[in-house]
This record gives sequence, C-alpha cells and structure tokens, in this order.
Amino acid sequence: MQKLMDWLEKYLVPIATKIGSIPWLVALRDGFISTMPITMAGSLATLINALLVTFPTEWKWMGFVNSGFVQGVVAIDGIVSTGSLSIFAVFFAAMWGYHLAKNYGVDGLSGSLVSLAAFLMSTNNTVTLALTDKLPKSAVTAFTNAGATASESSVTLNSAFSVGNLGSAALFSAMIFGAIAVVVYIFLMKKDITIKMPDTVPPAVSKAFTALIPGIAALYAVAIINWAFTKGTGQFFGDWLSQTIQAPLLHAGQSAGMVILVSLLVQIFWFFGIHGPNVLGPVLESIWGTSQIANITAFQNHADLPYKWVRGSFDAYVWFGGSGGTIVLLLAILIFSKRADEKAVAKLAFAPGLFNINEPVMFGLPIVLNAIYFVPFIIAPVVNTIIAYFVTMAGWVGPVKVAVPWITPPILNAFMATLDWRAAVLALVNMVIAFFIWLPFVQMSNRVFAKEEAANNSQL
Amino acid sequence: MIFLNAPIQQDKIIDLLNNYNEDGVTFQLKSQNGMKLVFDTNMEDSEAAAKLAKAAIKAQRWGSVLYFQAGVEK
Repeated sequence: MQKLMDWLEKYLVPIATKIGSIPWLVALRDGFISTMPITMAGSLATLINALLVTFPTEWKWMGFVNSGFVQGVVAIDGIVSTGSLSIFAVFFAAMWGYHLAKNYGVDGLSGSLVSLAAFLMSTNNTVTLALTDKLPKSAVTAFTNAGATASESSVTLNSAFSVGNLGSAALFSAMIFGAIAVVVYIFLMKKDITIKMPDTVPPAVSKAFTALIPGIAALYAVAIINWAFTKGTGQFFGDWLSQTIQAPLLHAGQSAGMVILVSLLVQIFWFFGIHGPNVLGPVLESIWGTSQIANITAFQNHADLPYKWVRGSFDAYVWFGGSGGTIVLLLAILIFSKRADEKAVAKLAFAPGLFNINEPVMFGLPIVLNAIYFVPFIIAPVVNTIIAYFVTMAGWVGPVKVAVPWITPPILNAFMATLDWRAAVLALVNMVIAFFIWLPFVQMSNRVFAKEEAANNSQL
Repeated sequence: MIFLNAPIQQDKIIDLLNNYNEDGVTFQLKSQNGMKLVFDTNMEDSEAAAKLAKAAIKAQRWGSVLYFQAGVEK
C-alpha cells in the first residue's frame, strides 16, 4: 500500500500540479465557473416550470396549469431561459477571453470582447427554414424582396443568428476561435505593438487605443480563417466544428471508461491534497458541463434529452457529503466507531457534510494521506459511479436535466437534478453501498488505534 | 496564530508566507508537524489572517490546485 502511495505521489501528483497550473486550462475552468449565474438562472427557470407545469400536467391538474398565474410565470421563465442558457456560448466566449487574457497579464475586458467577436464571426449568421408545404411564387418574391433568399421549399434569412447556434452546441467553436483571437491579441500586446497616447489622455481612452492594433489584428486573423474555410468548403467553420469535433467528443464522454476514469482520478488527487475537480475542471466542464447545458436546454424546449451522464450526475450519485461520499463515513463512525477522537470529528463534520462540505473530515480525521482510508476513499466513489452509470444508461432513472448548486444535500440533490424520484432512491442505494465499503475500514482504524494504545500503555 | 493543513508543497507555502509582507502583515513559521503548519502573524484578527494566507497561496500558480485547510490555531 505504502509503495503504491509513494508511486502515485512521485509520478501522478507532480503531473496534476503542472496540469492544474497551466494558464490555458485554468482560464478554461474559470471561464465555465464564471458563467454560473447564467446556468443557475436558466436552471431555476427550468425547475419552476417543472414544478408548475410538468408535474401538475402528469397529475392532470390542468385548471392549475392553465391558470393566468402559471402561464404568466411560464412566460417569464421562457424569457429568462432564452436570454441565459439558450445562448450560453455567448457568455462563455466572453468569460473565456477574459480569463485567458488576464492569466497572461493583459487587459481582461479587451480579451473578453475580442473572444466574443471572434466567436460570433465563426457562427453561422443565416437562418434557414425548411418548409413542409410548397411556397407560392408570390410569397417567394415577397421574401426575396424583403432581403431573404427564398425558394419553393425553403426560406433563408440573412444576417440573422439562430438561438440554436449560440447555445451549448457552439461551445467548442467559442473555445477555439476565442483562443485564436485572444492569443493573437496577447502576442501583440506583449510585443508592445500598440498605439501609445500621451500622458495627458485619460486612462480609459488610452487603454482603448492601446488595444486597437492587437484587437483589429486578432479579429482579422479569425475573419480570414473563417472566410477561407467557407470559401473552400461552403460551410461555416462553427457548424463544421460543432458536427466534427464537439459532437464526437461529447459522445465519448458518455462512455463508461471515461466516466469511471474521471471519478477515479478526482479521488486520487483529493487524497494527495490536490483539488481534484479543479485540476480536472477543464475536462469536466468542457465535456460533461456542456452535455448538462444541452440537457437543460432540451428539457426547457420539451425536446428529448441528448445525454445521459452529465456534470451533475457525479454530484447526484457519487460525491454525496463531498468527494469520497464521506457523509456515509461519518455515519459509520458515529454508529460503530469506539474511537473518541474520530467520533468528535464526525460530530463536528456532520452538519457541513450534509451540505457536501467535507474539509473538516478530510483534514480532521484525517483522510488525506491516511493509508487506512485510502482504499475506501478511492473505491467507494468508483463503485457508486459504476452503479449509477449503468442504471442511468439502462434508462431506469432519468438523466440530470437541472443544474443544482453543489451544496444541495444528498438525495435531494439527485431528485432536484433529475426531477425523478427514482434518482433519489438510486442516491440512497449508493449511499448504503458506500456505507458498507467504508465500514470495515472504520473497524480497522479502531483495531489499529487499540493496538497503538496498548503498545503505548505497555511502554509506560 | 494560524494553522494550515497542507499535505504537499509545504516548502513553497513556508517560503511564501515567511516572505509575505503586504500592508505590514507578516507570517512566521512556528511549527511543522506532519501536514500541519503553524504560523505566527502580527495581524490581530487571526481569522482574517487565515483567510489572507489561504488567498495568498491560492493566488500562486502552484497553489491554485492545492487542497488545504486554513484556520485559527487555538
């Protein structure tokens, strides 16, 4: 056991530390985290609609559903959703550019604007409506005269962004073009290829002029790439990225191997005192965070949910009481441990644990670098992940479709995230299983402690 | 006095806090036992000092990924 721990500490920890401090990846993670008010607002709208419409409709409370109050709330929720989650990539592009520029020591606000503009340049700015019935010639002429491109079977509106092209499906486009533009911008800023204003000019004006050449160059670079791509392929770069890069990557995120691997790595990092979700944040958010936003948006639009395992699935079924599912360890200690020190820590740590804060138990017990608790801390979440993954994939519980704050207590979290009572049962079953994985190690800890006590007493 | 429970990067943490001197605030390592580091500080409000130390570590490139605990040593 000690050899394994030494090996992990020698080889894995330095890699994780390095990965976690790469400015690009930190910016990517922080870009996603910064959008939390947007995702939470959109999720709240989804949750309210579910409580006021979805469930009452199932219970056939149509009088309530059709009441003026409920319809008014639904309309307001629709506005919130359209301006938040439905155009999520817009907010992400701005935040990604901000953090990227800031992490490289240049003005974050300008970086944010450059990234946003670059994303919009790569986005399809036409909206085509495919018609099921033939359009009369007079209508075709009317549409054409109004500036659209029309035929008998379709109408294309030019210079218009579809909300669908600004949502989660466009996130990789925002990442890639935001990065290209901001890198050019940072490079020129660092090389000091800027317009310098005299000291008498107000700082705000001077700052804007400083960003002028780098900003223009960055946006022209992105525009040229997009123009060349569209010229060569007849397709918008953003559309191509979404179909060729993003969709397969998100699909790969639905594989058991990737889900289990992430669950395992997060635990190993925590054990050695590295913030697991922080280090793996870029992967967690780009793959499963994006899938979650796609699910929430689809649910809001009454469409089929595209993904089964998303970011919130880990919180709902695996990280109850914090990473490692430590709330059940606390229960095991409170019920079965005879160690006064462990019981005292468990009593103190239980209340925060209910809200998934497990710092007191991680360092108080401790679990971090504690060889006795290494095995259950790693194994229990992996077993829980495997069970929850296969149950979810089999369709026995609904996928996560609402973003729930991570401090939401266990079981309630699973229900709120899925709006499915079976998910709460699954979370409870996982907790029971984790309890029995932790229990023998709590007893082992008692035995080791008793032996140490006996040895100390005999020395005295 | 404040304590930090930090299993890794202890040398960097000690170096950072021992050399910290912003707005007149200083820290000095008092003891090191396993993953627990105890620092003396000239700040009167120990809770604020613990928060300041945590923020200073988190602001470092190597510190942003660390999982550690900071609190008031009683």
